[in-house]
Amino acid sequence: MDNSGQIPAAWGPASGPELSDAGIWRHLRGNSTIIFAGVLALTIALTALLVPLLPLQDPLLPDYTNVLQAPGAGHLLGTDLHGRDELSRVLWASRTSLLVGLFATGLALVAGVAVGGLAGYGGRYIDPVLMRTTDIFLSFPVILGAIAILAIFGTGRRNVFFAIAFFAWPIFARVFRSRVLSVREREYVKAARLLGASERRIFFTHVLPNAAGPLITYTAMAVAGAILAEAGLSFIGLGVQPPYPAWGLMLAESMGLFERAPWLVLAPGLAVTLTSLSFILLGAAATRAMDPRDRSGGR
Amino acid sequence: MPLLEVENVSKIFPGRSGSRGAGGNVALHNVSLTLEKGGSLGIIGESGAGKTTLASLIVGLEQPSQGKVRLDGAVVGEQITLAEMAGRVQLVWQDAAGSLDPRMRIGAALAEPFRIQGMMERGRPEAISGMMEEVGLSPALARRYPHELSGGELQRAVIARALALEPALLICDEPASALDARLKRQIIGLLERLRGERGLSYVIIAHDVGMVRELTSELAILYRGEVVEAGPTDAVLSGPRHPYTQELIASVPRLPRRQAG
Repeated sequence: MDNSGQIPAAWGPASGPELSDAGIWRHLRGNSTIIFAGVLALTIALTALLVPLLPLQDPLLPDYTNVLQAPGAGHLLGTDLHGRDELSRVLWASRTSLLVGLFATGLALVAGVAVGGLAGYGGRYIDPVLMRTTDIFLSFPVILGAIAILAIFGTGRRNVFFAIAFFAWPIFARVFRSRVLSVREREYVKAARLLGASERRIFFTHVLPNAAGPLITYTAMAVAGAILAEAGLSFIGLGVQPPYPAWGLMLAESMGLFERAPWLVLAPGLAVTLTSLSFILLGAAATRAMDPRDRSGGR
Repeated sequence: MPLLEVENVSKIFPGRSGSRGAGGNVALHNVSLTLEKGGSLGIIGESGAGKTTLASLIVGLEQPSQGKVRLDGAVVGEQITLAEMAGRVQLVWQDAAGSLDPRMRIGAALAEPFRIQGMMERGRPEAISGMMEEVGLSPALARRYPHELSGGELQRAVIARALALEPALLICDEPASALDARLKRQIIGLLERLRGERGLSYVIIAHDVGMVRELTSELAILYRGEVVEAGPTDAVLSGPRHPYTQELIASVPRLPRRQAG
């Protein structure tokens, strides 16, 4: 569940000259991984977005005459212990998952880029202070840190969101800082300085775009990590509270019923697996698509 | 008044521990050079002799530990800032690919000097096409990214960018050492033509004799951070006195004499 830096070497970020947009699309065509991941992620995202418009039954309305029904015509994924429609609950839960995953990661990304950028430019005093702080945060597994936060501030979706973001930013800060340190020494940065560019302009036109590349991979990985963390926190009862649906919570509620109603375990389990998988694959594919050495061979 | 004066400049980089005492690396020791307006100065030295450090000091990217660099009489880094120097002196690096932002199209890179200086008129596509033609680049390349250009094209683009703000002095740090003989010839021809058209002054930094012999009238030999020999290029090359210079001239094969510019 810890999403900090556990990225296989083959997926690692790379840097160098970039291809034109056309080149990226040429590269993407015929790459089955990214098509699979893209279609999967898009389907999940669209579903989550359109849930309120879909002809689904009320995910919260119990029906005690219809408990633990097997998947069939009336209920495509069956019903749970309270007779609620499982399909509706799985789909509604995707909104929580994606919301927390994307926004917690987004917040962590912005915070990490701010801290990493400041550290990269901070010099002798600011850099070590910021980086030691980052290291302290980095030493907590996201899920453990989040549990501590939730224990203090209470459960619920909003707190889960902040708790995950609070411990997910350090990896972005570390990666971005090291890239900033490398990019700011490049000759094209010096060339801009010689042309009279302000440090501000240099940062936003040259350093940020060239240093941000690897963050795409980490972002995708972090979204997957955040989704898993949210599921984990809901599973142990610190996230979304009943009767509201969340994949982790639904798993927890139906673990004891696995032999009688395996669909109640499989549906949310598969949902969380496929969702995080799609982001991990997207991250890997994005890295490859953006790695210029993969494309034109260079000098 | 000379265009460029390097006065007793020394540069000491902090030692590996980066802290007080304990020597540090002496990159340049007591270097003095002068360049008149419209003149051209060659600096030859082996790797590690301090050539690139000297170039960085002249353009103000680094500050000397001792001594002063003057441009038109004004002390670089004190009386004129880096931003003010943009229109007076520019640097062309050895690695042309590395001195262009890999995510910026050539056209945008060439327009950047004008954007930075707020000269929007001159950064327009027609003007950029003109700049590209002046250095022998097809304007169609403006839409390309640096990695889609050849080494010779990249160096032309970098030279065009360096000349955008019409500096009086161009520092070239091994401008053609990564290019083959034919392309090197072309870059030399381009630099000679630009000198004629614009009245540019050059400082050409190199590790061998070829380019410097053709482009410069004055020559300084840099050896382990010190100028060991200086004078008119022909005189230094025909009658070298320092052992390093003698070895250099004996060991470097000559470029074929020029055919066409």
